[in-house]
Amino acid sequence: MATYLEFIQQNEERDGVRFSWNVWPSSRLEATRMVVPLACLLTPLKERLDLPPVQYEPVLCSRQTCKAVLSPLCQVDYHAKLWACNFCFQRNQFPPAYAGISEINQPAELMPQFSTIEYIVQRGSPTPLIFLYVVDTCLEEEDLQALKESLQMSLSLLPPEALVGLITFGRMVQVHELSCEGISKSYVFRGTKDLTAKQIQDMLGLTRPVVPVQQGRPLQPQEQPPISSRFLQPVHKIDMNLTDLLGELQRDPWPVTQGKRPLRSTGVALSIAVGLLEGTFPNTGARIMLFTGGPPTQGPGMVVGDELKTPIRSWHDIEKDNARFMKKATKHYETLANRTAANGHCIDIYACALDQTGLLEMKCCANLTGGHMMMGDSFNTSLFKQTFQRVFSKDFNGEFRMAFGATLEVKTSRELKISGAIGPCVSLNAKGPCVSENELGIGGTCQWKICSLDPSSTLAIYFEVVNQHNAPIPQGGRGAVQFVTQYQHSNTQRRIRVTTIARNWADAQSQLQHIEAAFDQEAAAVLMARLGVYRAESEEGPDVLRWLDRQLIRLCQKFGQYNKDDPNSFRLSDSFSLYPQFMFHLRRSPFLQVFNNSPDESSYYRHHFARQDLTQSLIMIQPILYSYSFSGPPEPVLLDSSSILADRILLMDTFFQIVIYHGETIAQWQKAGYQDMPEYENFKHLLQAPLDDAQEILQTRFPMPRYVNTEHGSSQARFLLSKVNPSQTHNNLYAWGQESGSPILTDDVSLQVFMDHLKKLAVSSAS
Amino acid sequence: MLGCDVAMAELYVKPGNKERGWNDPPQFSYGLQIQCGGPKRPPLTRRVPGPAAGAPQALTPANSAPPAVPAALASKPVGLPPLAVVSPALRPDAAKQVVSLAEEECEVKVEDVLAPLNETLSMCRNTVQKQVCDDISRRLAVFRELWLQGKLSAPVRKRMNILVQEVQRQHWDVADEIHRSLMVDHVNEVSQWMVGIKRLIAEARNLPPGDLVVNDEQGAGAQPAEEAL
Repeated sequence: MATYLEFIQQNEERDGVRFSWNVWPSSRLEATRMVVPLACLLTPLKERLDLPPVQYEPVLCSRQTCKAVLSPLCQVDYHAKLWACNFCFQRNQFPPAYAGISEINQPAELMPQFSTIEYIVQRGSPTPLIFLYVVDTCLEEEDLQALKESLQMSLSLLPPEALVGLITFGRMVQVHELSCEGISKSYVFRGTKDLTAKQIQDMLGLTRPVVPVQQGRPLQPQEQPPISSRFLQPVHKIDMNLTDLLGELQRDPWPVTQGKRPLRSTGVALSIAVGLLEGTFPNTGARIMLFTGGPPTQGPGMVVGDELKTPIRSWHDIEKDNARFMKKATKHYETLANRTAANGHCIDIYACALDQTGLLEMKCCANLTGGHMMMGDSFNTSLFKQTFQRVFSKDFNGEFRMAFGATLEVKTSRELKISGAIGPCVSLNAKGPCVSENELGIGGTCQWKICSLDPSSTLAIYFEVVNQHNAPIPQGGRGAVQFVTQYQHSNTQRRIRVTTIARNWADAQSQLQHIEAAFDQEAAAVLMARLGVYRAESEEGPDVLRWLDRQLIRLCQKFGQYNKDDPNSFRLSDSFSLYPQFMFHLRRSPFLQVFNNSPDESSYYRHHFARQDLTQSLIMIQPILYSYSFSGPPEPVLLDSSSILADRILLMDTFFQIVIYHGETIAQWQKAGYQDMPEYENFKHLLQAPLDDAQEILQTRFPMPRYVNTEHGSSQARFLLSKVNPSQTHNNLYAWGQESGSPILTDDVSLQVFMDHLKKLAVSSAS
Repeated sequence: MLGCDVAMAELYVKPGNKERGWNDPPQFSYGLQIQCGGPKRPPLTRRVPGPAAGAPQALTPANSAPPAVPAALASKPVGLPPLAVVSPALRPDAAKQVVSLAEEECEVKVEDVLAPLNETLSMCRNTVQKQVCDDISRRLAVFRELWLQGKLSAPVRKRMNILVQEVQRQHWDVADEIHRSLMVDHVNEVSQWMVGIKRLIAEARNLPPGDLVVNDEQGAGAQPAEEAL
């Protein structure tokens, strides 16, 4: 039904929400038979240029255990100035300021088009943003110089009132005291010994706040520590001195002998950074930005020893339980990450090196706090410089896209409970009537904390239908969910964004076709993929694939139309037709296949997958492929070896790479120089067209993707060849008859074979 | 917004650093990165539905003779591309302007650029800390040295000239944006001294109105700082 596609799209544009099912099965039993759980992707701060925030506090339900926000779903008695909460049915009095409302004079939050609305609330005095640079000095000269310049440049991008600090590390860790006069001082710590937060604060001479600050509660004016601390100073005061200080940074002076790695104390450096902020600025927006050029080799959190002959752990080592430092290092960074999240701060990791840097062990620092993870080859590359610049990109109002200290609370109507969330967040352990005992992802709570987020940050939230089979749903009954996100805007205002949505219940026995028609296969694919990747972090790879396959088979058994034991009769309706393809590509993706990737690379890909919005996530699962030819405008083509033709140029977007591939004939024409001849000007245009389109993507994506410009027969063509469905391989080359496209040298299963097996299993009466 | 004004910002794309990262993406200038307007193409996110589940596999017919033999084709004639008879039916687009970097000539003299800056600095000396003013002065001297030694490229000199004119007109936001674009696009040339210019703009814009003697072509009177949009 075309109308559901529109419905889905309109809802996403307005509310930033995509549900796997848009008509909900009305009983617990039926919901489990749907195979794909009832779940949604939520982009809490989706950019809404048409949504001006309102400058007052939201009206809340007065029941202490509810406190839902007034929304268009609430029944209103304008005469008596009462409203009924749609979640708990409590009747509430409107506040005095609402005395003038009526049917024709509604406040914004009651209007249907404001199902998503943003409030600006004044709570205490605004606190500035904080940026603490933690810089590895064990870099090559060229890299260190490039990094220094990027950091100096960033001082021009930071807001003048923001606080900035600097910690450098190598064998030792140096905390730089920023002052405007006299000789620059620093406090030096040994890189081998971890310290508690208190020890760090004592050694740095910091006074602890007298009143212990509760997490989530903003500081009252009288509790605030003095804004200016010796180690964190406002940019407008310290920029000249800090520019000089950065300019004078030297490589770590400790000599590195032949056959050794530099001694790098990343674990202690991060620990000190976390402790410093904990003691001075808890519960305010802060980024700890770690810049590292190699693995930690010393102290707590070390990932590999300093002997080059012992390589850093590979997946093979991990499988054979041969990664000596992994468990201890991961635990060290997990503890730091949890503390950082509790303090409302985030940790970014910018790792540039030719070998691994320990992203596997350190990934929780970015994943739990919402911080960025960037992986490159060198700081002297456009990949790093542009990605880093884009951290400070601004929106149409000239304000940073980053937001801090968000708490997300989810409320459901009583037929639903919350199983959990998957995304860049931590649990706030908030129990309540909405919380389900069956956990999926980060569960056992209806509130999560996202310490850093931007307009594309997306959480997956999983629900459970708890309505009993024999409990009737009233005709036209709807279930409702409310998402309340409180956060600190980059302009330091505190804001609350409220999204309230409802969907119809339907009896699965008699109205399955409605439920089927309202299935969102794209959202479902991403939601199942997030579950799969979440499981892959703790389970064995083959188990996850088996689980994914089983779910796919069950889904096809439930919703396919077929005659038993007749695979050729199998059909799927339109709303399911792309789903098996998504699952096929997901199984081959770097999120579930660790072969050919280092543990760091897998961690990097998974990090980005767990936080992107639906469109980008789908690109990661099944890359986009466009074909350019003389016969018309560029068109999307199947991600299939049959699309690789001699006279075509292909543009592939995997999210992490942009690949431009010249077919064999195109490449030959280019070598012959036809593009320089005026009579073949259209060939010149043809060559340019994909470059222009690629540029469009490269100009805005965060993080900056790699750029591969390759051709038939070139080694870099492997980026394309490994992604396309290998419908033609060296095994079946002569079985096809008419050949088209390029055969791929692989033993991987093709989509055709996959679908054949799937159909056989789905229709089998033995399953 | 500033990105759309060619005079204020450079718009260029440079290739990435292939020596350090062999698939390093191209580098966009600051002006291109903050561009808000410009023709927006529809995003490339469409997919072709695969073979419908259950339908027989349909092969797309090859357009050209399928080159089944991957032999050395250099010796084999491969045919010519089609002639440019009609305008190509490709996506209409506005090609990004590529400003040639090195070939621009810059006739500006360093003293013409420095004089207004030093003047602005002396206006600040009443209210701003001596140490800060001395620091700015020191960096202006470094700037002058580098200019005279020919170590500053033409785009940098040219844009500094524009920046200084905006400072004279008290267009603080515009001047600030130019400083930012220079820091992003030419950090290795400007990092030592640009922070002094940045500070000078920040301090000058906060001066009490009496201190700032207007020195612009548009007329007398202490006008409030114009914010260009």
